[in-house]
Amino acid sequence: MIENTGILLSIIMAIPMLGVMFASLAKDGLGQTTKGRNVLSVGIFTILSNLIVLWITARKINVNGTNLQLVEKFKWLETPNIELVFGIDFFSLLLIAAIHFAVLLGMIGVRNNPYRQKTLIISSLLFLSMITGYLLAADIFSFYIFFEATLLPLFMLVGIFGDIRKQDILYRFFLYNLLGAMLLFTALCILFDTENVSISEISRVSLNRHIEIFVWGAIFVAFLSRIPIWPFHYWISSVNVNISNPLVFIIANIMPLTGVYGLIRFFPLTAPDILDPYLLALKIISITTMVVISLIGFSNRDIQYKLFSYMTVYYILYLLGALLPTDALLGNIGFSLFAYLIVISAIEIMISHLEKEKQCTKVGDCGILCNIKRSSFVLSFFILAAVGLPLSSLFLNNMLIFAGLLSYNIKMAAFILVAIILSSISLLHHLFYLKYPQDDTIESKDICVSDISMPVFCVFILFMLILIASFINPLWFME
Amino acid sequence: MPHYLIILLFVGIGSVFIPKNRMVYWWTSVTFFALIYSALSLMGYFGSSALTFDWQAIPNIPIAISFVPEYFGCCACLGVLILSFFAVYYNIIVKKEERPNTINGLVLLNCVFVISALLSPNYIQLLAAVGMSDVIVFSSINQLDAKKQYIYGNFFADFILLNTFALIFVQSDSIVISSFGNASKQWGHRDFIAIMLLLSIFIKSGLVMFHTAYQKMSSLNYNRLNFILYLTTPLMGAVVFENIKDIFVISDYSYPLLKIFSVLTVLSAFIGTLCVDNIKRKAVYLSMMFWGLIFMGYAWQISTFSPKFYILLLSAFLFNNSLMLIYKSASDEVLISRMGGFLQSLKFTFFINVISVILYVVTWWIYAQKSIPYAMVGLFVISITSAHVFSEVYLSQSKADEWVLARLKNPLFLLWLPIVFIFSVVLYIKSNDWQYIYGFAVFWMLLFIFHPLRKLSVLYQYDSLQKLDKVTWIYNFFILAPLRFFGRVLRLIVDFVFIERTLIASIKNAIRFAIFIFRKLHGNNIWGHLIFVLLGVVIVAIAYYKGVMQ
Repeated sequence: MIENTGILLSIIMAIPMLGVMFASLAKDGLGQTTKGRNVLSVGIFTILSNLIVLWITARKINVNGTNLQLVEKFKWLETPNIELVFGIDFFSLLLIAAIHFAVLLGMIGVRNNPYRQKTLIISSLLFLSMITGYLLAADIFSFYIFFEATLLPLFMLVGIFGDIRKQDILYRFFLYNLLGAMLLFTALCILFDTENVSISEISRVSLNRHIEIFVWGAIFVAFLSRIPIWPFHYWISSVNVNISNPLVFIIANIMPLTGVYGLIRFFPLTAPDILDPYLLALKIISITTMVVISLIGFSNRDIQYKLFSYMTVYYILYLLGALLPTDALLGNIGFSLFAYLIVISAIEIMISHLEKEKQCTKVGDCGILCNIKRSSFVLSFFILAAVGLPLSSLFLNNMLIFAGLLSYNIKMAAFILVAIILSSISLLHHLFYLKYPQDDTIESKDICVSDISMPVFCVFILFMLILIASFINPLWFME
Repeated sequence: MPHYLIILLFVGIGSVFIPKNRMVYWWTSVTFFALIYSALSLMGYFGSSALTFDWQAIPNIPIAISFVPEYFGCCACLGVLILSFFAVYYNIIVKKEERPNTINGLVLLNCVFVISALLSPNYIQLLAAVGMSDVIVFSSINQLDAKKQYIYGNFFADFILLNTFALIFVQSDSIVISSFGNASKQWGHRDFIAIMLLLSIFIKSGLVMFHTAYQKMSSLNYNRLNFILYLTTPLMGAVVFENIKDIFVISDYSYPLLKIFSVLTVLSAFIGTLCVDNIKRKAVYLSMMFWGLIFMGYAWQISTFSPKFYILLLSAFLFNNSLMLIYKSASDEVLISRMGGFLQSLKFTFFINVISVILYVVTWWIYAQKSIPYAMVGLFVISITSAHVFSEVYLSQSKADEWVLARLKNPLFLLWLPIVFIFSVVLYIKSNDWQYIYGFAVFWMLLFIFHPLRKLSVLYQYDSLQKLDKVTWIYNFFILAPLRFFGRVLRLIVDFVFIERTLIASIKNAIRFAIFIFRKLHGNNIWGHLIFVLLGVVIVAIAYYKGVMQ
């Protein structure tokens, strides 16, 4: 690790916590004239401030550096000797920035939310702080603490903003995550007990054969419990399908990223040989999940499930790309994930807007976009970007990820491609369903729903420009 | 980018985003200026039109973007600019579009991407240009079914293209197209690569089995339809083929596949043109026949992507536009079965139609004359179809509405001017070959007058035949329906039966059972006390064993 004293990383983690503090002091509540705008402004301002700090950080780090940079260390305990270490590389930076953009979009999506706005914004900022800490953690303790801490705000959000079946969902949420938490805790305790090392050095810890299998198996299951891989996909799909609040949906969908990121950090190129059969099993299960979920998404009429299916397929694609025996693709995965998180957040915001309009005006959602040109344009753009047309960094970076997978195993890659095609066509199909009334008895002029406002449209245009910039030059913000 | 492409790009974007489509004539003038300026730049009047720069689109691959037109590249770009000029011209003259500025802008943007594809030295530039062109065409189509089928097909084609290039990249470790050459013979999965690339090209160019999206476009305005058929995705298919044609030698399947598909395309388009009633659908089939003929040339390795190709492309475009003259003259009547006997009233339109056929045939001959059988096939299908269509319109017994008959009039001169102008230019260039042109004109007139296929007009009555769309049915029945069925079954089995009813239910029951046991143990009874005492003894025993015995 490159030693570098500084406080930038601490600031990045602290700003959302400061936001939480200010938001909790803001005078906002049901029935008040501010309608939750004060607390929303605090949330947006916090994220924008952190994005500026991230931009400053980006300019200070070496894009091509493979090690963690701007490392900050804090002594926590003397006995046992525990030191909290934070560091950043370009991959983490891209993910943190993408998550900030996604939550920012989510906040714009809930600007008119009448129900417990303060709780919503505070929990979101708390989540942002926790996940930022997770992506910056370089030692196993802070990594574990932040890994688990990300669950707390989400649990609260699902509990408060979930739909009718939220008790069932919380039950599954708790069950699956408890399993993951216990296993990871045990595995990390064994590792710490053997040798106190940083995350990047875990693979060199020598353990006896049975313990090694248990430790790595536990780490596997712990991270997989966050990724929608069979049978863990069920709790995530349940959360997705039963959440109508766009910000909560976006946060719930950032959660699998923690699993993918964990596996990327824990399974470097020098993963122990003993893992080979398990990695093969993981790949087979992953690809089967991709195909099954994409098929279910293809046949399902619910757009939330289609979106979930699309996200699952892409998260697993990134996971498989990261597990390839090369480090060269990490940058591509980062750039692709950057665009991907923005794209799915924007699609979710638009879908939630249409869902609300549908309920207000009592019309079906078939053809709902035909008279609202701004919404139609925005949704079309983001769906076309999502399916991989050259509108964002997804296009070329995915090509290299595919190249890696094709070179590794062409048959395996063929199944992945089928899953991607199916999930993308599902999204396209729904776009057409929303754009054009299929019932001849309904005239397009009969569908009177409100379009997104001009300021919101401008925000979307800004995000479109960010995506296009990421296609033209993914390092546009460094120039 | 070369300055002319930047001008085209900005004028295109400006035209698309003008609020409420204001200042149509002013913007059209700017559009024409941009096209003329670009053409003159390419011809060297305004300094160098070449540019090369590094594109940092992917962190680990340096991409050299290049716009260096050699002689053939320059001719090709000029061809595309001239065609775009005519597309904008017809768009303004016909006045059928609600938002003409938007269409003009899309024509310019498409022009930029076609030129980028034509001049691309690497497949990243090619892929990006092809993908962007798809977005432009997607925005140009304003009919649901056509839009749907177009984007499904082309998304699939782009995806195949992207992944096949990814497969090529991992084997060649280069993105430069010219580096393929002999190295491609060492690649693995050669048949797969060749077949996938061809499949993608077939979808893009709308060859048989992949033509339904273009068929569905027949409800678009005529000028918009012609722009899409000749200047956008089908042309991109041919450009992609031309750019990467060296790859196809790696597989023994490439050329047989090309031969089969191109011949079937020409055959199917030939039959389609003769059988369908709607003049716009005939126009779509005629364009399909054109692309089929072009791919036949590739399949037998006869023709090349020379400047002659662009003259032919322009003639085919103008020939299709000459059908629009009939449609315009007949008060927008699209059904051939409701025409007939128009010669009396539309002599001049007929004359223009004949000129357009001759122009098409002459340019075809110039293009294909290297192989007489190939040239004759084209000559045969073009002559038969055009003579049949014009005989139906001008000579057969009139079945038109009285209202249509009463309003028959020759179209505005601005509509036929480009045909006459290009015809004059071509005849001037080929002034030594008058005897062949006379010969063909006589042959065509005989076909026109005797109308040997007149019996086929009976097919216009069969509604089922006119609406026949077996390809969509095949896709729906053999691909989509089974996928949906599997999806539903999997959902039921995986999510509902296995996880919800088995896994979650078992854990729920197990937890419920554990709670029941603990409740019982905590109850005020002797068994509870006994079990807790025993548990304590076991723990003490284990601790003793671990601590003392070991």
